[in-house]
Amino acid sequence: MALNMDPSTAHSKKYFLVFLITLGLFGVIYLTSEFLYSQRISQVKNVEDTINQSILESEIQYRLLADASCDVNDSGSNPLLTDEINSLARRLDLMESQRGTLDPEVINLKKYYSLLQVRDFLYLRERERICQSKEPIIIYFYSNRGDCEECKKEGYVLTSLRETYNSLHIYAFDSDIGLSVIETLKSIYKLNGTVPAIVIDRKPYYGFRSADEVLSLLPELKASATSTAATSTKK
Amino acid sequence: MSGLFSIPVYVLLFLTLYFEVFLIYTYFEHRHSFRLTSAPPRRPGAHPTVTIIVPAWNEEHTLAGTVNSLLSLDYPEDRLQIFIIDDGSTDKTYEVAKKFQEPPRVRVFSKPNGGKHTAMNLGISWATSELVGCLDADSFVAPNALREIVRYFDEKDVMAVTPSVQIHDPNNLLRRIQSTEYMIGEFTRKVFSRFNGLYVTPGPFSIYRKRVFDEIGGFVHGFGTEDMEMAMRMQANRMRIENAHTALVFTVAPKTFRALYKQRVRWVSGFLKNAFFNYRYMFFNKRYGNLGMLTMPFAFISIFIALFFYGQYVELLANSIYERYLQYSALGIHFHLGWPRFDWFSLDLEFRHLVVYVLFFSTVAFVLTGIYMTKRRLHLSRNIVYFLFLYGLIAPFWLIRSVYNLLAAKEAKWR
Repeated sequence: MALNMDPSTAHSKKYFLVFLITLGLFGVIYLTSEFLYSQRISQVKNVEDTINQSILESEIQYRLLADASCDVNDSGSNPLLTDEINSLARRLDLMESQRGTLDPEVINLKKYYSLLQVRDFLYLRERERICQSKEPIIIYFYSNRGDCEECKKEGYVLTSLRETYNSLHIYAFDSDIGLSVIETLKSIYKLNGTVPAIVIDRKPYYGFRSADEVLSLLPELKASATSTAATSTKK
Repeated sequence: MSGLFSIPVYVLLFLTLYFEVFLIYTYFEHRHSFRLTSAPPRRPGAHPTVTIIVPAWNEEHTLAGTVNSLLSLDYPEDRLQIFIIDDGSTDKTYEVAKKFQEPPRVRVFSKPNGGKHTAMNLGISWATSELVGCLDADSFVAPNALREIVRYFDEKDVMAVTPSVQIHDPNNLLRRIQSTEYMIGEFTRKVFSRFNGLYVTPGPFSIYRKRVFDEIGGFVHGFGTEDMEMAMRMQANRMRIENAHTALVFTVAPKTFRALYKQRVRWVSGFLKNAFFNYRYMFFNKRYGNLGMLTMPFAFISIFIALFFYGQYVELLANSIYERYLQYSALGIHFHLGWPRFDWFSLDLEFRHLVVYVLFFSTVAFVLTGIYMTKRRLHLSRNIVYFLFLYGLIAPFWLIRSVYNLLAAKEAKWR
């Protein structure tokens, strides 16, 4: 029962040793956190590369088949690809909420994601032109800076619509991300900088729009063949 | 949790982790002290004389059980005296006590109501034994408890010994939560005792050398926590306090939130006021060893740390509720069909969250160690889950009130 040292005495050596252990533990936890984060980054990058490759494949396939591809009952997107893009969007959203909107890695991944969306959008537009078809498309501009409550609400509406209508294509862009392609899109559609903004048939609509209001702007949506959307919705 | 709050969060997380590492380090350093071996038999005549004082105020329902448990103690009858002090009860406590009157083994005293400390002091003034203890009239002792405690007094410098306090019959949610909380107490009290860092000698069955009171005086009101004040005064006088983790004492825990809140406000306010107004000079004073350098400052700061993290938690909860409100205002009542999918991305692995997970699991380890020390086996019960997920929601209520009481305190003079 005897103590191996005087219990009444403060042991500076022990305090220092425990300090070093705690510091070491802090270091290990920090490195673990960074390692797990880098794993997530590389996982997201892999998904983005897969998506990029899939879009490229679709483009090449389309060009190979030329006009004949219009006969194929395909709205231009691979359903599997849609799932991947949706999952990617969800994960980017989670990473953004956990690491903050200013995290450079998250910003890079979002930029790449935005480029993929634009590429898919251009491919879809090209296909519409050649095949003279019309796909229900919404281009959505939002801000994640924290002061745009209506963006969050619009995000919920568009996510819900995408889940309900497989043929709906929604391309969501963070207007604060600092990507020149997004700036070009904004100038093409003559956006005044207000968010949230949705563009349907080249016409911009500002502020929150309920599900019914959005649907009234897309009469072709219900008539459209069942297909999957080639993108997801971001809040 | 970014920007302005980042630096305090890192500092507070580091401090909390430091303290937990200190406890774990001490545990491994003194693992042999945590053994569950029973007290060896003592030769006849080697038992110190003991007086157990039972202060009772309106305890007619539990007093008999308390005294019966004392009468069942495995200890020589001629070496143990029981003093029941009726502190001006207005119910039938005195009548119940009188039934046990059997001098010299059991003596009953009655006095006008003056508070527990006055009842204790009356008992101490009549005691002639080597050891004097206290047992609240709503607590019960295991038959071997006194033997387990007495062996610690074989070391001459041990001046007081605290037992392992457990909850008697945890039969509702609040008592189950408290039951797990007391398991942590079982572990931490033992660890604290390894570096003489105990700052409370609980009312249920803490035993003192009689000369402690001769040297430093009897109990005082101590802001309603006379046991805490006594322990701090002993520490201030460099007296060693031990913990007998194998001496089990069972106490009746508050049944309702109101009663629990009242009890905890008294405890936490009592600690804060005693520590701040009367024993602040011990903080970071090497003269008072680990208690002054570590236990008391951290116990003091930990209340504010808990409130800080509770504030963060409330902020998260409020944001989450606000998100739901936005979702509702955008979509109306919206049901998402299908099974929820787990995505490991939804698990926040950011550094500060990982530290919180580490602290969480170390708390679980403390609970399990406490359970093992009490029950002598690992027993997993739902009480642990209740504690881990609900305690953090109820404790801030009494912490906030206690901090308010400290800040609004007028009765104590600032040193």
